[in-house]
Amino acid sequence: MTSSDPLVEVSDLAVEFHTPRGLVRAVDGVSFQVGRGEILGVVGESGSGKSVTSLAILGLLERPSGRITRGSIRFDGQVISNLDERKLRRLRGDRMSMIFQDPLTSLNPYLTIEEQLVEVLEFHRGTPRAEARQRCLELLTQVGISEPAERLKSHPHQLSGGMRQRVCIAMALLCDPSLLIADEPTTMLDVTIQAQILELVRSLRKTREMSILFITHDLGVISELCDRVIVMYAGRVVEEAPTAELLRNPKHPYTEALLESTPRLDTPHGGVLRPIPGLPPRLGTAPVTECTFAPRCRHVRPQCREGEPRLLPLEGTTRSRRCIAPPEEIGAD
Amino acid sequence: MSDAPGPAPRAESAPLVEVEHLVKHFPTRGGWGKNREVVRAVDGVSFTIRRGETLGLVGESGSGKTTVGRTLLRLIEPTSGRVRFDGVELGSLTSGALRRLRPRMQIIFQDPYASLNPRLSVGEAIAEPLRVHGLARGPELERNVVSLLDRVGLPSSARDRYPHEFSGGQRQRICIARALSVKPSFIVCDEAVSALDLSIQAQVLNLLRDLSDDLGLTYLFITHNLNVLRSIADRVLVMYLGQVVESATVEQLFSAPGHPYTRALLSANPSPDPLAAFDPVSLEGEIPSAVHPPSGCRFHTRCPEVFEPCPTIIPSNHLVNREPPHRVLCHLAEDAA
Ligand SMILES: Nc1ncnc2c1ncn2[C@@H]1O[C@H](COP(=O)(O)OP(=O)(O)OP(=O)(O)O)[C@@H](O)[C@H]1O
Ligand SMILES: Nc1ncnc2c1ncn2[C@@H]1O[C@H](COP(=O)(O)OP(=O)(O)OP(=O)(O)O)[C@@H](O)[C@H]1O
Ligand SMILES: [Mg+2]
Ligand SMILES: [Mg+2]
Repeated sequence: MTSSDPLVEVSDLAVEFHTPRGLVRAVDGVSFQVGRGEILGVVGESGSGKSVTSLAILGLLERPSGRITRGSIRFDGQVISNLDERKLRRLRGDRMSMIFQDPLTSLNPYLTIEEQLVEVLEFHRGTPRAEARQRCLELLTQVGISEPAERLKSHPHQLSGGMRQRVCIAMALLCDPSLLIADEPTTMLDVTIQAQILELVRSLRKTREMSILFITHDLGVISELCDRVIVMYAGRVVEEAPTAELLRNPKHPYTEALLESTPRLDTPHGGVLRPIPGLPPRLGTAPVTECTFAPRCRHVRPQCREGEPRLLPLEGTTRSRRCIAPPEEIGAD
Repeated sequence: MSDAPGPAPRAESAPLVEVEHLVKHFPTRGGWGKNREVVRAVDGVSFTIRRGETLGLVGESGSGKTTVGRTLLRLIEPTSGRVRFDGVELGSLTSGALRRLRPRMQIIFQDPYASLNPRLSVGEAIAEPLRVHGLARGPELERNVVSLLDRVGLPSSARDRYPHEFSGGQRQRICIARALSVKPSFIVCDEAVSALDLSIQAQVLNLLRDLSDDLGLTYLFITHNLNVLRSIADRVLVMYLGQVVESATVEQLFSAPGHPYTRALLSANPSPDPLAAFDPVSLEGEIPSAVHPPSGCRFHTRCPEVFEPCPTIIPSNHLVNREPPHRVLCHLAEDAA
């Protein structure tokens, strides 16, 4: 194991949920790697499997309905997709941690912030209470919470949405994880506090070589923070590229359409926003016989209906995509 | 919703919502008896929203935006201040009268999952307000539910599934459909599109805008996303520590921001263009607390343009432009001639 090996390696991951109305395959053949000290951005359609992929990495899929049906997840060289719950519990919150998309549901409404934060350090590190409290105060200050000592005594409902979100960020950072999964961690923060959080994340990457999987719909944040980006659609990775290349010159039709629906500060007031027409495909378990984006794609051609393209490197670049249309037909060039 | 009755013919500029000196203080745990301290979550906020208008509300996290929305709708009691809705003073209503008014005023909460009942299927959740208020039943109810799901980009099969089976953005859309189901005249949208991908966000914003144009639907739109704000709001209020520090039309706010906090905010908005320069005005100093707000101007502890009067003298609201009105709470602002 050398330090140039990726910290996380997801290979051909598939996740299914049993529901009363049949199987739902939420993730289907997802592969990607996160390098040490790398910030990998994840964007994509709502419902495309971003959160489910994260939960699978942490072994937090809803039980018993959800399970990994194919593929593997490696963390620091070790396969973790088949670990038992006891071992996973030791890893979670310690060497890898997650900021959940919904802060209210990841905090216990009956406990004070102090009780919840201190518990993490006690469980993983056996840190004495006073010392743990000190560490909590430090982190709350770093995430921009005023009068942190007061806030420790609060219950979640006494905080604003953005304060709860910052408490969750602090909680995820308590044990100095090697991998941080951040699922939409700044949706409730104003942009000045967001800038402060992004700075904190960048500095942790630098000083601790923390690896970060950063899920967001905000392409501005992606542009500011991430080294590389993967784009998800219908349970698949459809494009992967270094950030600036992806944003300036998308090579998958979904990414291209997504970028066109961005409202920007220079969009005139009341100007038209352009959603992508049509609905994403149903996530059943029927065999896939065509490109999942074909029904909504403006570059569609007959071959797209003949089978699903694989995620392949784009010749002469460090990027890959799941598309057969000529690259020069899509994006900026 | 084409079968909805149109707005009653009224003067274009008649205000639908009038808020006067709204105050909400929460007790804290510290202090005893008379010395018991309070969180000044909302500390004297006044504004009006005209029929069919979208008023944007932005501001620092914790500055009191959600509390404004909740006290405005009387989901929590204000400490003081008055709210008139369609000419009716809400504080004077009996609980029965308030309940009858409820369907006209909806809120889309900041935490989508927490605001959905996990035991109701999505179809039931959307139909519930319609049923409770006796607004539709039978096949009409079913049709309404399916058409609402369609308008927020969810398949009709979503009806029979439960909230936990949905992604964050899908849940948010369920909440939007639920709020729209009773054909309200006013909606408080508290970060209502924050979990949506850009394509769905565009679809939902277009929907909200169409409803406002066609049916005169009025919004208080709370958001941290300045790009969204720009595309949906007509006028904007900027809050800092429980107070409104600037109020302007959306064009005025983006072309000539008057308050130093607003300027810092606009500068910190990251652009998706990798070549765009990103150079946020950094706000130095600790974020002050709403329990002990700074003296003088509440922003002076972090203001890059602070000068002599700021730490001691409370600034007054300056009308920097008359028509349309643009107000700025700052010692540096000057009244228009
Ligand atoms: N517990 C579950 N049972 C059944 N289906 C589920 C469950 N959890 C997620 N799904 C489905 O899996 C798909 C992927 O969900 P996921 O939460 O990963 O989406 P996402 O990419 O994070 O979307 P968003 O951007 O809206 O948060 C969705 O279609 C969702 O409906
Ligand atoms: N029930 C409560 N009890 C005590 N304090 C509260 C309560 N609700 C809100 N507060 C406090 O009131 C202040 C304003 O909170 P509010 O939720 O209105 O902020 P916000 O502007 O919506 O912030 P955000 O953008 O983070 O959602 C905060 O200091 C918060 O801690
Ligand atoms: Mg998600
Ligand atoms: Mg709020």
